[in-house]
Amino acid sequence: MVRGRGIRVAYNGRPVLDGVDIEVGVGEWVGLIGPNGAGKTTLLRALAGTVRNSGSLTLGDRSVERLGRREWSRSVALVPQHPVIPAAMTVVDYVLLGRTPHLGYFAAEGVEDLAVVRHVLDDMGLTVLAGRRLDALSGGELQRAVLARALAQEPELLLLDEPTTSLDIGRQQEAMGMVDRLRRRGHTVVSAMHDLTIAGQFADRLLLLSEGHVVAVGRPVEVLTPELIQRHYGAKVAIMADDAGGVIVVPDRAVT
Amino acid sequence: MTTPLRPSALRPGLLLAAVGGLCLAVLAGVAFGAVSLPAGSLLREMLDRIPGISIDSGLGERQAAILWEIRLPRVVLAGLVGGTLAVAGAAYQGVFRNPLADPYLLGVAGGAGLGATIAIVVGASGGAVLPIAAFAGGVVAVVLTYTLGGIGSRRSTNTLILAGVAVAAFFAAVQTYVQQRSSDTVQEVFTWILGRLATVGWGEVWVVAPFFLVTAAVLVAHRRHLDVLAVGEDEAATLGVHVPRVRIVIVLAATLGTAAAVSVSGLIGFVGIVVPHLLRLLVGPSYRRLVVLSMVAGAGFLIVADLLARTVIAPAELPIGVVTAFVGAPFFAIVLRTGGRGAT
Repeated sequence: MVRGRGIRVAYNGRPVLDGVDIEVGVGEWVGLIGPNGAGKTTLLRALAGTVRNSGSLTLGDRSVERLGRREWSRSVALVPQHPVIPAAMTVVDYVLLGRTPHLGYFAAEGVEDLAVVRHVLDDMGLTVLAGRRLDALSGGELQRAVLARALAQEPELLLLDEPTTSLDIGRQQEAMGMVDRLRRRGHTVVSAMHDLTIAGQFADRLLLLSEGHVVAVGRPVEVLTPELIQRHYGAKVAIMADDAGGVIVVPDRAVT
Repeated sequence: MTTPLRPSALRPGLLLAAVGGLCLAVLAGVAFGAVSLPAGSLLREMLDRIPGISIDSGLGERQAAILWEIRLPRVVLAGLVGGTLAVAGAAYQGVFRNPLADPYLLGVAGGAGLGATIAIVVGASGGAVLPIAAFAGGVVAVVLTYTLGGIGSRRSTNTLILAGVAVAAFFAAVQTYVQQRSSDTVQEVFTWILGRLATVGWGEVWVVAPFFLVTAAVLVAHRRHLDVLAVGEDEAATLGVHVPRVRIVIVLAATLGTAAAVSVSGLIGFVGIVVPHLLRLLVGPSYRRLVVLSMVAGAGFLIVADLLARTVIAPAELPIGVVTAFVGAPFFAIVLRTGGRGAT
């Protein structure tokens, strides 16, 4: 169970998050939605413990202040929207970086770390690509490599920032399916989501952020309403429900 | 099914190849010069010095003196300076994620140049004063760069690099002014700036060796951190790395070694950039290999460069900085052309 209370983050005195509460159950997938600049990425960073926030943040019974950065990183992994890709690094070296929080300051990775990496590569279908340079991967393969590095951290909480940007629809579906599988295995997932239909299809609950505040939280059908989307995105949309309880968001052409 | 994973590591074969090359460079460095010493005798003479072994090397007393008091100290000094500059360059490139970063990036060259010039101009360039003045100037310049660039704050590393540019320009200006004011020493100042390893005896070696050891130990210990920094500060932080702290430790270690190297050898360009990049093309970008290999290869490179510097136009000597650039630049260009994609 992840619990954040009164999360406040300011950049140069300007508040970006202003008292955000968030609660995510074990094995739950919560999607963060909201217009550009609402604070989605900042909330993910606060959850990852890499930006200072005034407020409390706990994972189970452990708090981020008590654990310190390295120990927090053993339980929480963040996949950024635009990862820095060291072009000439091999896939296996890259995924091995995910073991960093588990290693002592001067320690080398051991048999156990390599076993985790092997398992993760297998899981992501990257074993045959292990010796490949990162710049020789396709977009979908690269996304899996980045996810694999995060999984090598063996996190309880997986944070994903716009995991489907710059993927074609097939790779989007593949990536979301993979995250869904991880969630079923007990990983807790929080992801910032740009595409409201994907958010409505995959997340258990959505948290709508606007100008640093939580303005709505609940199941997709409760949050993805034409009124809320009109108010916070300034968009006119039609909402359709599918048979499986998911939601489809369609822009209304009449406006443009 | 279980194909072995092969993460980058410093495998014994790689290290042996590099050390073997270094040994050849050392042997060539002590064998050739104004008086040639036969390689077989040299090996026997060096073995003879190992406690418990006694062999007659066949070297005369004068030849032995040339070996132990002239050739070997100079070769060792070249090795220490070359190894330090190369590994410091590799570390800077890793920390700043900038392939053009060299050990002089943060103004250490400008500062050391000013320190050395002042020592020469006031006529105190004898003995240990020149290296101390150069070392002090280099350290002052880097401290100034840190202060201006605000290391440790969350400002980007670019701010630090730009601060280094400003400090280097300022020190170079002051240095040129001081030099112009006393034109009778221009020759001596230039000789120093172009780099030279003219040394007699072991004095300089003992000056740099401790700094080199500290620099080498710290950078080897942080080789994995350098790999993590390749994914940028934000992501390294999510992997549990305290980026500002790790960065300042690495930069300080690299700078300290560079300042010590500069103080005994002047400004020897190109080593800190060419050696790590050549190695990247050969063994990939992982610092788990690069840190140690840079030290070994940098040492070998500078020993050979120094050998050329003192033999090509013997009995006169070329400035070693001229040799490193003259040999290094075309060689590097060829490798870049034929080596395919860069490994940055």
